[in-house]
Amino acid sequence: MSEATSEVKKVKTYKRSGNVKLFLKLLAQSKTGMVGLFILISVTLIAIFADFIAPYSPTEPQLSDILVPPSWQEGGTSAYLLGTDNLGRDVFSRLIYGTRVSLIVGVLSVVVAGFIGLIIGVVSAYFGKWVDQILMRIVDAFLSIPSILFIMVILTIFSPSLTVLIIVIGLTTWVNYARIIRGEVLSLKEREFVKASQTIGTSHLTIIRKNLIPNVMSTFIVISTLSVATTIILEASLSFLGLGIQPPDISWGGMLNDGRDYLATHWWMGTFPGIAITITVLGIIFLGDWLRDVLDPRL
Amino acid sequence: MTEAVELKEKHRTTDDQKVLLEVKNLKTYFPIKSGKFKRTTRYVKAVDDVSFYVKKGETLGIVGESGCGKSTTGNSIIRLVEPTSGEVFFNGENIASVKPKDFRPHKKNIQMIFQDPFSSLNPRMHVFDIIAEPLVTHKLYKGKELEKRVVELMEIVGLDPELLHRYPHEFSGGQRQRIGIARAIALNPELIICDEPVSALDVSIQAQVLNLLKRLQKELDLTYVFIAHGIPAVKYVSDRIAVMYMGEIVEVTTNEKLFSNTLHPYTKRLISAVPSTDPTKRTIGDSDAVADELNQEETSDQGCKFAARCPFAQDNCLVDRPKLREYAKGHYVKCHYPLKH
Amino acid sequence: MNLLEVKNLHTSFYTDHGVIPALTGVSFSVKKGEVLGIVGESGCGKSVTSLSILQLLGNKGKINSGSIHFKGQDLTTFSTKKMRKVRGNEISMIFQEPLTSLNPLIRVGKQIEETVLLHKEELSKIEARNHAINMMKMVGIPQAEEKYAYYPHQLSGGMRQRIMIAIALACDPELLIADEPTTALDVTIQEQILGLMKKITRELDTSIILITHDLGVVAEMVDRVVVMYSGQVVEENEVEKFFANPKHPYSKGLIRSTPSIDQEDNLESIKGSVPTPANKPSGCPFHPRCPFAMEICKSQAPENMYYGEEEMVNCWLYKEEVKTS
Repeated sequence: MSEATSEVKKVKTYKRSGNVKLFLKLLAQSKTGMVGLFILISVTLIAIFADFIAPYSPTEPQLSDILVPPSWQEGGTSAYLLGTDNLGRDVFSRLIYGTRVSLIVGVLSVVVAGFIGLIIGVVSAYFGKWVDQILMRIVDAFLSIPSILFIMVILTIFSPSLTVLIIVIGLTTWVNYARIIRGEVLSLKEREFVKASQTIGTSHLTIIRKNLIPNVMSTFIVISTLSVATTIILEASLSFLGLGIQPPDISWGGMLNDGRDYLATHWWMGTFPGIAITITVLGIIFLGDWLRDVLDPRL
Repeated sequence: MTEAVELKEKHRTTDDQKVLLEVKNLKTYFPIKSGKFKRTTRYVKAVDDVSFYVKKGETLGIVGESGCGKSTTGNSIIRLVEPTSGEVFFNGENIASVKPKDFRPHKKNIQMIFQDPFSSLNPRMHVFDIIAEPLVTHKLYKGKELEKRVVELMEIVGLDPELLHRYPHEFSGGQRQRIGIARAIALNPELIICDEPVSALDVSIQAQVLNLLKRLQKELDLTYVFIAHGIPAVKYVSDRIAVMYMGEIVEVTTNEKLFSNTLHPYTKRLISAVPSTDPTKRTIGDSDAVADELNQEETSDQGCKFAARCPFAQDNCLVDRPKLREYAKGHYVKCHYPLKH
Repeated sequence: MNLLEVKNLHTSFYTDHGVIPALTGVSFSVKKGEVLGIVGESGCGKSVTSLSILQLLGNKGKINSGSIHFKGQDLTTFSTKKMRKVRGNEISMIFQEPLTSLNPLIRVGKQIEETVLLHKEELSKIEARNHAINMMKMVGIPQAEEKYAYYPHQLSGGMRQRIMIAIALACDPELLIADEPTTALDVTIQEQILGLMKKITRELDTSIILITHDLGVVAEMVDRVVVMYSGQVVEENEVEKFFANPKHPYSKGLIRSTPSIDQEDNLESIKGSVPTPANKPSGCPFHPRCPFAMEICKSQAPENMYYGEEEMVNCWLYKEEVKTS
């Protein structure tokens, strides 16, 4: 029967990780995906090389140059591209440094939330029965508390440092992962290959590790990517409320907060951080949507 | 094409063969929860008091329509679902009563082949890892030895070992089913439960897989429980056949006798419904037949479950449930009025 | 005149991964009152053929060339609006899975009634309702008045398929396309549904295209057989002649590899696997699996070779025979 097997179907293999070439080829076919990736890479590079790009110190007040308008406006100077704020600090330089906080909080709290959510979701669905009952009631409890309120309470108890912020955001958003992953695994565990492993005598841990987690990975990557965007917005909202990153550390949300009082008279202080948030979030959403299109179709 | 030859030798069952698997009064009920607080209000009797035996080296076909409990019977034997009550003797040991964790060693001896070759293989694993999984789990082979064994298994089922590191989606349905078969025979099991192994395959591929199963049975001295709804396929591979209806076995006998000396009215109905592949012998008339299928909920707890559809039902069929009895030697039937020939 | 005449139909799907030719030159015809069986395996294009006739190919599918004449008019030239009048009215279709074809939120009787009202505007609501109940009785649904108010999930699979047939027949179509109508059903239910379809052709003189992979259903039901493989028709013949003397090696293989209830011999299998439309072999698409393949088969696709009007085979083996006859 060897003839039977020599003609293996040639099917597109883009669902496989490791096939970098194909991945890039598919990316090239999607404009929004390219734009998203381009924005994300740029923002990441800016965050890494902030020290070299920023023309001024973001924290040093320059009291002689208070509230200078952007360079193209009347009274603006080419020294300050996007103008200066109420303490004479260069808005452009502050934006560049603010990228760091936004990205770090966005990515790391997603890592925290994703890790907890993935484990809880898989365990809950796979073992079912009382394990599922207990874990899902915990999820329900978390969902019933307004997350912004919960974060505010925590942040008034602990002083809001970067680490605390990441952990707190992570602890409030993991439930989304848990619920989605649980749903996936519930259908996955009825698939015959999971049953096949059970009939072979494979241990629960191996089944989870080899059969379940790899098969929810594509969903997981998509929701994680999209969550980075929502987390950046959440961090900005917290900073805007004065609960996020505290001065002298810089975040876009904090800059928005500073600019709030000056919005009518000195628009540039609040507008540019707003635009930065919008562009970054859009870029991530573009990328996430593209990833969903590529990764989601099940085999 | 070697599989087509010399498979003709049928009906290996003889009296002195050893009984490998014996199922006694197996019941698997699924609770239906409804109302407030999800209380169990009633049960679906998926498998309702089923008894049969399988001799070493033979194929027992279990045939029946959807929802008759044939798959649940297979799953209960291999403990994919926990039976509600009853005994399953494998080589004389009752494996239905052992704790789930003590059942693990038995998994080496009883394996399963699944219906859907697209769902039975993990899409994220190489063929090598899939076939090696049972060997690794039971720590039988390692390193070079493991690879040698996997290659050998692929050759046995007619797969090109070159394809060792491909993913399942690169194979066609028939080839994927061969991968599933290689995994099932990896541990040299004594018994394989085949749950609709060809019904998801293309017609021209079904014969390949059926012939492969027959060849492997001979070469590896396997015993099969072959579960399917397709009567021609069951007839082709089985030595003895059990017919199930609504959770019960209604008739068990040898392959020839089931067709030549049908005793149960349901069996007769089932056989006559199969379209013949000879257009000169059409059996289906243009009929005004009114739909007569029943839901499980519609059957009463009393009497014969087939009575409502049975053209030969008498008054006592509606109240008195028949028992499975040996009507002729080796021919068991669950009917008060078996058909006369 | 034939009721339906499909000539040299080419249909392709335009996907992100390129153009996939699903049909490459399909021709057949259906006479009035006839049951035509289209047999083939997954990916052979039998379902695409029926969707092409009804022009339900979706955004990605397109008929590239060929004609579909229904009662003398070419359906491929019809506008969307004109086509909508044909569908459900003159040509209707039943699918494999009745549960997904029925709207779960509308009572089954109502669904029949709506189809009637859609195409027969002259009927009043009460007339339409009575017509729906009569249709339900005709397709063998017991207590039709009561079942009229049932939702699809309250009915069994066989009953649902009867409802689908009732919907399809509600406007008294001239052609019914049944795509694997009994594949999802149990064998005893299949027997009843097939019996019902026979009754329909007898009483209503409706022509049926029966698409199936099951040779048993073909032998039982049809007058003529069309065998499809990899997007084309490889053989066409009357049903009895076809089973007695299949010509194409694929037809032969298919018949010999199908287990039958009255057979004692071993099954012979066709080697290899079914090609997908995306990787169709060169020349004759069956040549990699064909035990009689010759050199010419690898490079050159055979022509349709006719034995009279009704009998056709698409295979190089018959080249000489056709010439001399």
